[in-house]
Amino acid sequence: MGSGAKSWRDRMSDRLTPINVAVDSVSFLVATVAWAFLVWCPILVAFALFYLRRTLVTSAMAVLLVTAFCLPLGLLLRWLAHGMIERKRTRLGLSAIVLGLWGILYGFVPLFSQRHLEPRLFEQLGMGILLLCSAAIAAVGSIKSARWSDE
Amino acid sequence: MSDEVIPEHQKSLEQFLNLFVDWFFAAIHPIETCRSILSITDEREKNRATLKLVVPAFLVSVVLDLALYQPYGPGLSSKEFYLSCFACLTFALIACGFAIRLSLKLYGVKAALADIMAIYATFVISYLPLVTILSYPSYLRLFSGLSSAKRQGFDVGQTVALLLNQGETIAKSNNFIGMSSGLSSCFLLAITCICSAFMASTVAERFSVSRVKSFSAFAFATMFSLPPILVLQGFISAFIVFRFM
Repeated sequence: MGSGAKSWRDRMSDRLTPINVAVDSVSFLVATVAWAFLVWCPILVAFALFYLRRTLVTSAMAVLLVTAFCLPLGLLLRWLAHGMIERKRTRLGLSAIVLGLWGILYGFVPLFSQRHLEPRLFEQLGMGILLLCSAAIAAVGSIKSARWSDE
Repeated sequence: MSDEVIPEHQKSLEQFLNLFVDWFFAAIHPIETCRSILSITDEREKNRATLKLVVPAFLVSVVLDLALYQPYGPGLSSKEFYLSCFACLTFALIACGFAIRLSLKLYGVKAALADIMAIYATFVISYLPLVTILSYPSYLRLFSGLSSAKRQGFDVGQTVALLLNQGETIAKSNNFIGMSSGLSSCFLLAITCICSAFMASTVAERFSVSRVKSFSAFAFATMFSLPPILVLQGFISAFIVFRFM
């Protein structure tokens, strides 16, 4: 083994630092959400329409509309997740913005809306906090990415 | 003769208790544990080290599960009930491991089964008791609904309708179960992401595959297999409790 080449044990130790694992976890979250948008959303809509016994044309149109909305969103999230895994600075920054906006819109805006005061308060709040924490981790990752790329 | 037997028993008990101590330290230092297990060259020894990690975590989870099922189940008298609970947990663990293995194969990651088992045991099964505790609110919600349906003599269709309505009502109410099930689901999501990130990183470094490929394989396994497995496990648990209630 050359002096520059590290063994898998050393690489594992270098990679699995707290900040690296945190950024990896956030990228994993984004990747799973991307898969959910790409696959589960159209399937769940189709299932719901089948359960509600809508006509075939209505169901097909609804599934197409949902797919047309979810597909680009899923692809965007997947692209962001891949960038985060590869520690690309721009995509880490973009992910921080997307996660932060999502956290605020999902977790905190309903709290101040009169219409949505009651339902799923703690679930939404918890999820909002989780997403904001993820955004903060992605932002820290974006700041540190220049150093990572030097190493 | 009894003098020889007693130290033998003591030794066995000591070994058994040491398993729990080792598991506790493995859960605190997962990276070092995984690295040391993966460094073992002999496959049989590697599997033995993995099993030493799995057994205590599994036993603690079974005890925690029984504590949850016991108030709704038939009490300590029915062996079938506890056997079913044990089988249900085993099914979920094996199914998740199989999904990960399949997904890695689909993505072309050539990983030895013993290594995958070691990684899965260190980063997932070691934390199974924690996951079991965090699942308590959701199961309490499910079992209280089932208990109510059983008392009212509902059939399957009516029970499902009741569970859906009750789930929605509890989720909207700010009582303890509603609050804790909402918060625990967030914690579960966070733990799932952290454990998967650990596994994906370890697989990428150990088998020298690209990180994107490794992470994609784990994301694929999580997104495609975890929801059906969790739904099936919930359904089997509900059926067991409903049957023995």
